[in-house]
Amino acid sequence: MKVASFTVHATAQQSARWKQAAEHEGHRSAGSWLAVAADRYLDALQRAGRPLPLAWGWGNFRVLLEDGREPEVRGWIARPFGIFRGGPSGPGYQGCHRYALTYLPTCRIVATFRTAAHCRSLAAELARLWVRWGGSEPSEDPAPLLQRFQREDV
Amino acid sequence: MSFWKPEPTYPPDATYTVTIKATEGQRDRWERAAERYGIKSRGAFIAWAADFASLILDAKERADEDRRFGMRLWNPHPEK
Repeated sequence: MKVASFTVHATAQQSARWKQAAEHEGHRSAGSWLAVAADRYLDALQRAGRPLPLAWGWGNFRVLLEDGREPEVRGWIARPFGIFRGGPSGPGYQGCHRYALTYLPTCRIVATFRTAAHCRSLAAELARLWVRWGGSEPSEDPAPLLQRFQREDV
Repeated sequence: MSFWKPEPTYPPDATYTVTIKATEGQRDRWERAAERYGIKSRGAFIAWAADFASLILDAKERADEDRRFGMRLWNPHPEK
């Protein structure tokens, strides 16, 4: 089989993140992990189809902050995700351009973006791909959305 | 960064390089995918897919950790 090499450009942050992911999954180099990650992403998309927008509503939920506090915040909810204005250090002020996507069963922040729209986009993709990504959700998670994905996956 | 509409090119501060070995089939597939998503190179597509993969891995790891931690709290001496 003919194999050729080429290069992928990365920022310092990306490079560090990919190295960490490669080590975590037992790859000798970030390059070999990148190839697997790209293939796996396409495989997952093929199986999952296009992500569907979630139905968001307004409500309160708890979020685990970087200092260990777990305050209740107000934001948008589409289980199992929540979005609030702010980041890992806590709720932000109006116009702070920081929105955090939170995984509600564990109260953990998944990612912080400049707009809530980006959080919603990622949530839609995660909801569709999560269970199909070769892993499984905690069985105690009651989120109906994820249970439906689990049933579809059987 | 939007996961619906990836950036068509590398970010300007992408100064690091990572070497990838791939078969012709893989390269063709990534080029087709890059085209479909409107990304200008297969390398930029791989970078985008890898970012998404690492985010999912991280989120899954956190969920697993929480589950393990929850189980330890529930049953601190499983061997007994």
